[in-house]
Amino acid sequence: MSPSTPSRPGPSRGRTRRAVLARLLATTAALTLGAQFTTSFTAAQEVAPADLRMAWWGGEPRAVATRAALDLISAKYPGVTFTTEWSGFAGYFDKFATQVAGGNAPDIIQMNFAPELADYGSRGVLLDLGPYVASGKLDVSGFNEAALASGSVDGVLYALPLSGTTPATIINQTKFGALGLAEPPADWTWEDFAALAAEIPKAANGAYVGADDASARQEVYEVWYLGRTGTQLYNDAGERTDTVDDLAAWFQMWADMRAAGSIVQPDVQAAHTPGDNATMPFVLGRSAMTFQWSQGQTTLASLQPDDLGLALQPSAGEHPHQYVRPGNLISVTARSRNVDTAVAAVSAFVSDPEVLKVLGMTRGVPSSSQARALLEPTLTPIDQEQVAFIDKVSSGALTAAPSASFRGMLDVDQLFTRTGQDIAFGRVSIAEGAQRFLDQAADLLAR
Amino acid sequence: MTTPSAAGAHPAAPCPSAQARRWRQRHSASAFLMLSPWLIGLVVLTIGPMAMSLWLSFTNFDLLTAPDFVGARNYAYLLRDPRYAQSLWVTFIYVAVSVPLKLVVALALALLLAKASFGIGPYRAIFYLPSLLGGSVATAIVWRIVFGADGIFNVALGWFGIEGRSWISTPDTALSTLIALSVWQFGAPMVIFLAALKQIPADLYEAAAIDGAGPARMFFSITLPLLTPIVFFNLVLQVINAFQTFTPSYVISGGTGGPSDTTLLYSLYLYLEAFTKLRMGYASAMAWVLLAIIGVITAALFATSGRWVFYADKGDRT
Repeated sequence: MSPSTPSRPGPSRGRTRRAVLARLLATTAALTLGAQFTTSFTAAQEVAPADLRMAWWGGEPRAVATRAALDLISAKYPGVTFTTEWSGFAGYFDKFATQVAGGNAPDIIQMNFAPELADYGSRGVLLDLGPYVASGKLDVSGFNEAALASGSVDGVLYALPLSGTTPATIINQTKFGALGLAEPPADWTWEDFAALAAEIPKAANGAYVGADDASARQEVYEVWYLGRTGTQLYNDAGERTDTVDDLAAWFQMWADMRAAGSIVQPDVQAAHTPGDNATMPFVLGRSAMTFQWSQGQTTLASLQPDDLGLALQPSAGEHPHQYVRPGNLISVTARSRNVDTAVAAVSAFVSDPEVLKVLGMTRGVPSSSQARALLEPTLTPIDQEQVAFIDKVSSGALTAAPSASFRGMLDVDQLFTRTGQDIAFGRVSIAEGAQRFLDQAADLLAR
Repeated sequence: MTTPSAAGAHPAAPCPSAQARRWRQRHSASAFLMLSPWLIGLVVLTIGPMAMSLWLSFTNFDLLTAPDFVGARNYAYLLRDPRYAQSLWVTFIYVAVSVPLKLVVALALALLLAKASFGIGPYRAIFYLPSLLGGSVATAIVWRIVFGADGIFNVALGWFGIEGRSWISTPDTALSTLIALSVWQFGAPMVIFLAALKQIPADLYEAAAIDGAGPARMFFSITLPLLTPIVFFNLVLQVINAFQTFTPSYVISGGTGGPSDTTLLYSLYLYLEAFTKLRMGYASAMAWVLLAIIGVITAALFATSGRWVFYADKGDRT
């Protein structure tokens, strides 16, 4: 697949697939005629036929590319077919948990880094891939130590990272261009952010505001907190490390921006459910900046007409706040009835050159150096930006990616949203909201 | 069921009681056989899962690992879970406001549509239509759009110079949009009211008219008293339904119950606990408490019904 046309099957992809099929047919013919030479496709003989189910979340370009990649794998391994389950992220893991409980989980599953990987890994839902790596059935030659470590829980390899991602600020370049604003520098602070966000609605005559309201999103708060304190939000005992002062400072900063009209109004922000990108105020053209994972540039670009750019998240202090973590990973479920075939399919998914080309960057900047080397010659401008951004972040000062997984963390996450909304709508004061949050969070974590 | 006379039909039999037993056994066997599709369904799909959920409500089952017995801990936690209290509060308001409103609207429209006149059929169908669509995801999505920041509701308000907002995502109004959606689905009680209105004898109205009663007097002295059994029936059904409402709050709040948990209906919180946080034990406890709440309220409605529900045939007997 040509990455230049991620949203629809372009002509180049058709050619690639036809070429592969032609080569496949030629190889098969040669084998049937009794030719004795070894090709890369002799491996096909060792894979038992099966119908595999694969589930993933993501946008349409990813779905198109994934289906095409699975077609290639089917062609490579005769008798191996795929049933696909594609959805958005919202509800994805609700469905997966139910399927696991019902004993009909997909064989291959796109995994999320935190907290799901540790959660499902430690509960025995995911297959230990270590033995397959050792026996050479799973080709991980493209992954370095760090990449494999990011797919491991307590030293057991449960997943292979498909892409790396980092927290970013997504900039609407079209709007910035129209207003004659310069894009933020790499070392910008939250004061810079607030100043820029205040400038935008004035320059745009109120047609849109500076940014989405991220005050109720704990993952954005977390990055802010890392820069402010240099401490992870949860300690090893699973307790919060932040204080009322931290929370109050965060909410006050957003309250000031709200009062200045720099960010979208609370009711507009609350109409958006995280995970449902189409309802994001930024996507609806109501603001010029939002906070997202870096690959959000590509995902959101396909949902609205403007050009989107990337910036780091602003810093809140001296400490490094950016980190790189797997954007998504791929796992095999432990109770799959076709474990060997599923591992072979995953192996092809992460190492077969044709498959990697078809997948392109639809899952973000690949974690596999093999995939990156294959894709780099033909990257589109937006994909080049993605790669350059991850490289830039990786070469800067980094902090460890939050990977804690404790019971009750999801409750606390939802409590944070509720607290942020209560404050934004003026239902509770900042001081009271911050204190209530910490009290209730401690309760939920001790539950 | 067999009757004693069945045995008496064979007086010449040596042992009539044994034969009757065999006859009865044979017939009850075939009765059970005929009932079996329903019985199997009842046991496998209703009683079994209910028993299972009762057991699970005393465990910490998380879907993925085997359940451990934890006694009444789940029930105890309900008492000190602030989010559970919020969901109860939201649900009670939802039921207490939406059910009476819906019944009033249903009755008012039934009165309008009861007048037999040419071409009334299509109108009745049109008024019933929302109820056919009502519980669906599609309607909830439409509702989301209608009452959103750029929705047609705000456009309409704009004509009158009123500044709109995103009604579905403002804490003060979010629940009202859910209530409005519920009231809009007045079709089922309306149809029942319509049928009941047709049953009221016309001579009662004629007699009242001769005595000089106006339309309001006729409504409060004849129509409403004679409809009270139907009002009661609709009330009980709608209360039970309203307590179990899930789809609109899930769709309109994007599965969160937000903003600020103001649309967190009981069933939605139960769902979130069960399927996003995998606390099946806790969710099962919530389900049993909901059953108890609905049971108590229904019993209370029945207990008070003697005071305000008027059964015409009962009156005849005394």
